[in-house]
Amino acid sequence: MKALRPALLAVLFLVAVATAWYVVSHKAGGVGDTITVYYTKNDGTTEVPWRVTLGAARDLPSVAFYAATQAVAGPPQGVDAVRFPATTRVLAATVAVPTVTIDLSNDVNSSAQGGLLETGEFKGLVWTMTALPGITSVTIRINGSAVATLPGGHLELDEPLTRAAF
Amino acid sequence: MNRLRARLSSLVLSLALCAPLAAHAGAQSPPAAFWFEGAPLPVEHAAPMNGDVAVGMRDPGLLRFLNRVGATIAYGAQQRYVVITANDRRTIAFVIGDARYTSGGSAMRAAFAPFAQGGDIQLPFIALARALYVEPIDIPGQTILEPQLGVMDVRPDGRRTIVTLHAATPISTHTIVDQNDRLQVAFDGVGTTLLPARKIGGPINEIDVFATGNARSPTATVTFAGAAGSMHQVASASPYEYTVVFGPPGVSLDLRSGAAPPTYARGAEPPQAGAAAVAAQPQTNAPQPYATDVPAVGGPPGTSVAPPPSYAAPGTGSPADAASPASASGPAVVTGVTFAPGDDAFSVHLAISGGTTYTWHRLLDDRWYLDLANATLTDAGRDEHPPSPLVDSVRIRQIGTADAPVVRIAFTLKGEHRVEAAPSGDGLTIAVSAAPDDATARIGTGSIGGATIAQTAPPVESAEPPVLEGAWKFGSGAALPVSGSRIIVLDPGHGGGDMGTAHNGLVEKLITLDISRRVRTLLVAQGWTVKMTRDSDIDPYNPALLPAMQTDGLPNASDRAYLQTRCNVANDVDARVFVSIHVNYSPSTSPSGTTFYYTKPQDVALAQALERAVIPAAGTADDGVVHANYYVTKHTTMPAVLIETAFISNPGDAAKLADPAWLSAIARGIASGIDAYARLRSQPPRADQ
Repeated sequence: MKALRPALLAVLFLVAVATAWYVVSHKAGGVGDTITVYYTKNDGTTEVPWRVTLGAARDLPSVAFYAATQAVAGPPQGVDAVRFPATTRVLAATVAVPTVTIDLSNDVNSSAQGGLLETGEFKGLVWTMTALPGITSVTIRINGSAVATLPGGHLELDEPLTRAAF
Repeated sequence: MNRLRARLSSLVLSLALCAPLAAHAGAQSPPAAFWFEGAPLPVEHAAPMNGDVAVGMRDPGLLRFLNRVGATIAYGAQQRYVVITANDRRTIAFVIGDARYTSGGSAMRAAFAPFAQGGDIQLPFIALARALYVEPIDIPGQTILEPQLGVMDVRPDGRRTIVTLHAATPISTHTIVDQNDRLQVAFDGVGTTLLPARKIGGPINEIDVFATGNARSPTATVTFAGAAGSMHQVASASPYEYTVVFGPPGVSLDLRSGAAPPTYARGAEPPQAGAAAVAAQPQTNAPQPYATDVPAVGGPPGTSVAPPPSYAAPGTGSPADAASPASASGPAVVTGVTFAPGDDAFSVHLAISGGTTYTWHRLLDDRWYLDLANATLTDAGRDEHPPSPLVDSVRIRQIGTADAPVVRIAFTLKGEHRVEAAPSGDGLTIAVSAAPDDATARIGTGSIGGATIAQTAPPVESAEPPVLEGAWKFGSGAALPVSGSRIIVLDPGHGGGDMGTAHNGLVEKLITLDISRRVRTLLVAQGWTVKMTRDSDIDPYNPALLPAMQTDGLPNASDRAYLQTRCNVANDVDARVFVSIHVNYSPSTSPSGTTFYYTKPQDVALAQALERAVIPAAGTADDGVVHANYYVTKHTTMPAVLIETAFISNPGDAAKLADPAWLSAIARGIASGIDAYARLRSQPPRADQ
């Protein structure tokens, strides 16, 4: 019996480690299985939500990155929506609750073509990000840099954007 | 003997250990070369794995493939998602370390979990290709990646039927048969696994699809057999789509006019209200939805899905009540009041928890009060007579009703001193300065803590301050705010190298200058002094501002300087109003009309005055007075509005923008609105100023 004791302890240790790993890796962190993504209708003001299924990752920075990418991609083609330029990518999403910083690729610069388009794009993004738990404001970076506005644009982007900004 | 036994045991053990490795090595045979669109795909490293192939996210072959299918890839360092956006805006999201992935909202499972290796993320390439409507076809020594007609959507739209085919790569077609009720089109370079035939009904009897050619040079041929007497029209919105509309004679087949534009059943997309979408079921070998506890919102590619409960379909006019701006407002609590008296200024800071909106009123007899909507006071009301040369008394009261509590703070001033309310991170500061105020009655609004102004200030004609139980009864006669300046600043949007938007043969920077000059002429004739931020096709950017702006540490500081130059033209002369004139744009041709953007509460009345004058004069659709965080309206110190005069992208509006008579008409409206707003002052402008 004494000989079995080390083996038993080893098994118990492995079970404890496996349980801890499972709990940590499946920690919800306040995010469910889906997130709400918003897009702006072509009227430039109306926000429309839709639910997007999450993958396995639930940590807030990863979910924020995914949510931002979804918001920038917009709804499927054919839906009446204000959209970011098609090649715009999310380069990074950095969370420092209650603010998330979204770094967009340079492609977004071509969207400064009137108030409706510019406002509608960022409104959808801000509403999406502020739908995440604990997030109330969004800081925009373009290719890693702070910008006052888009080139030739209207919207002030070098201060955190909240829903009240729209 | 023992030694022999030991050697045999070692041999057996060695074989046992080596067998799995040998088997593994056999399974991971070198990958076949990929062939795509008539040429080898330059994949540098591909490792077969569980029936799929691991290819690095930064592999030039993968990047070239994504480029050709119009997809982009996004990955943030230290984050677990790799998100590919398809040319139809579906997102395909892989998770590092997990074989499950989502495609267009559907949960799927790949042959292996993406993993990091050599500074790159290895993705299941075959699963990704299929999600992008590309089918791998294995032939000895090679895998041909055949683009597919991935989806066919059939959508009834009134008496007409809209069919949209979506391909993995840009569509190239040649028409074989083109009769009124029959259309046969060959799609070159794409294969198809769509159902070969389907009955439709309505103006289309049947659609047949068949594939010809071979894997290297495929062709998909689609035949639309219309009902007797039907007509058709082809209209495609993107290089990856082919749309044809069938309908009976007399029905418009133009998607840009008449009925609502089509929406296409796919992924997590909303269905058209009241339209029964008939989506084709692709017969593909694409991965099927993985049975999982993760709820899938959308169906597999090509299927129609019901909207989630929270979804509001476009055009239904109910975009989620729960997400309406009004919901942003919540009950607020005034937790503290701090007075800061001084000789030159006096301020009161209200510490507020929660978000709310407020309305302030300037009355004719040197009184000023502010109402915090939906707010409560933790302490009893206060009556203060601070030792201040500016303020006689300050009173704070809880008024309103239990259902609609209001906190009111009222000042009795010792003269025509200026009062300003400024929201801050933890509440609201009301500052009284020795600067003279014009002593006319007026109203403004604002918000605190992210709440949205649910209602703009009432028009001046009905600006009677509310009389609530327990409140002080104040006089009426509120008017629009004024300043002593007789200078109007007009800001023609864009200029020089900044063209603004340019479509339909029109260029925004030239139109805005044209309108501004016409407005100037009218205002000068009415006795106003007018300054323009630019009077020619130049960029008004002032290089002298750049060093100061660069101290902000903003790499793109020239943009800030560019816009600040325009603001300073007005700020430096303490202009009466600032009006920036622009032209709007949308990728869709449908939006039209004029929008009046404001940022500061004191801008609202000017925006409303402009709206009242411009819309009848210009005959455009009224897109309303809209709040926006625009630089030029935010960083000007006087009432400021940015007018988006019309949509350059809308055929009707574009025709107006090209018509000098219309430019004069809207200029009359803008000048009239500015004059009506600014003329409400004690001293009318003199003709010599």
